[in-house]
Amino acid sequence: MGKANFYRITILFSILCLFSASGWGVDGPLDGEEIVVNLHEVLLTAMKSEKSLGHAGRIDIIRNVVSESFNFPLISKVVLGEKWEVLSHEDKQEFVSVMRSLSISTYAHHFSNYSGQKFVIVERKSRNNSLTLSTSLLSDNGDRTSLKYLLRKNTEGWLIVNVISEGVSDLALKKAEYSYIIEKDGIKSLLRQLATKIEALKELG
Amino acid sequence: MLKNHMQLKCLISTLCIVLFTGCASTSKTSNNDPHESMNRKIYAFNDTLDKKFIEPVAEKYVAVTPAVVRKGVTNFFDNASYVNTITNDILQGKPKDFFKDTGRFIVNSTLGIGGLFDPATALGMPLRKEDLGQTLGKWGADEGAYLTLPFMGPSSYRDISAPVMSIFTNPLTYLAAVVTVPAGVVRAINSRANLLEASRLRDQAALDPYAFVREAWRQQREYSLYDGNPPGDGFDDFIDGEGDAAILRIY
Repeated sequence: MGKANFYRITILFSILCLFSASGWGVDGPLDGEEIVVNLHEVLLTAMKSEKSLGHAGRIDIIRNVVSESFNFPLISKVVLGEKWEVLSHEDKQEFVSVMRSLSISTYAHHFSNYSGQKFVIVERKSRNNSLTLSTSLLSDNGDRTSLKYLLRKNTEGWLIVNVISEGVSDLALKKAEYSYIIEKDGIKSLLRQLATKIEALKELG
Repeated sequence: MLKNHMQLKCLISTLCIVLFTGCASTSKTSNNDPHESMNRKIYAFNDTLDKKFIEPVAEKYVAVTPAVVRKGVTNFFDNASYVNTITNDILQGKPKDFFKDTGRFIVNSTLGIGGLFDPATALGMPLRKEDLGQTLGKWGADEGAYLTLPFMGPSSYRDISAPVMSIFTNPLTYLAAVVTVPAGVVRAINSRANLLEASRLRDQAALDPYAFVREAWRQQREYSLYDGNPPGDGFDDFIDGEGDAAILRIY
């Protein structure tokens, strides 16, 4: 290798390093974005999967990405509000587990068919440890559905804490529903009803 | 189950059901529902009425009416009620929207043959919805308490007058009863038919349908009031003294 070539490669390598550092730095807001992009890719895979796989097959496809993309402990705490504080350690763990299963089952049920949809990122806003990623789900007939992801960064990295669809917060819906049920019938009843809902989704396919 | 994009949209737009029984950020920590006990009773009444009579009729209507006809009926009634949106554009001081919506109304009333077709959307004048509740909100009126109205579903102190204005601004109101009554029935059935999938999705997703509908409706109203850009970043619920780390310590 000639000296000139060596310098060229060194310069090229330096430029690549510089690019990498600016795009995927240690603080890497892109990491948060990647969480959402990865989730979308897996959801599309599930939608395009063979019908014969059924609900159970789609759960196998999306289980890991949903489990690893959402901060279920934090989501659970926010959903239950003050009631979270009075739960036993076992009830907290069970509730977090049920929330995870419900999300996986819901995605597997609703993202079951592909007809040309695609996800696009529209806008990102970051502040300290918070990231808001506005995305759209586009269909081949031009319909557009707004999906806004709220992410928080903790010691384990960026995780999704809420999804707002066309202005409606998933977290707020759950909060409104669950607080009434706990107030009226208690946490055990809520856990039973959630388990029934997960089973119902399984049966619906 | 979501088998196509429209269904998906139905779900993800929350399942934002304005149904007969009813169909607006986590920043709303209060449910603003001092009349909850009465509201739940009315919700149950509406729901029973819907399940026993309205929904079955809507299902029959869908079974015997081709989708293209139902689309035409929807277009017609959307267009007939569009003077309400145009009037509220003026009241909210939105000149650009006023001209665009007026253009839409003229195009669809003429080229669209009385509103049966919707060429305006393809010409860059998509359907928008403004009503008196949104106008009062723009003027600074608080939403007031949440209400469930008999036969009509979700509303609030601020929004209760919106249907009155929409009746008075609808040209069909001023026709003979022999026309307006059947037209009203067709409109109601067609509107319910358009929400069949959304109501199924609500039934699949909700543990407490009343609370689900109330929260979805309130958030949707706020979203509409701010034209899709409500204030706040949505992180209010995640900011407390301990922060996220407190949760992670538990696990």
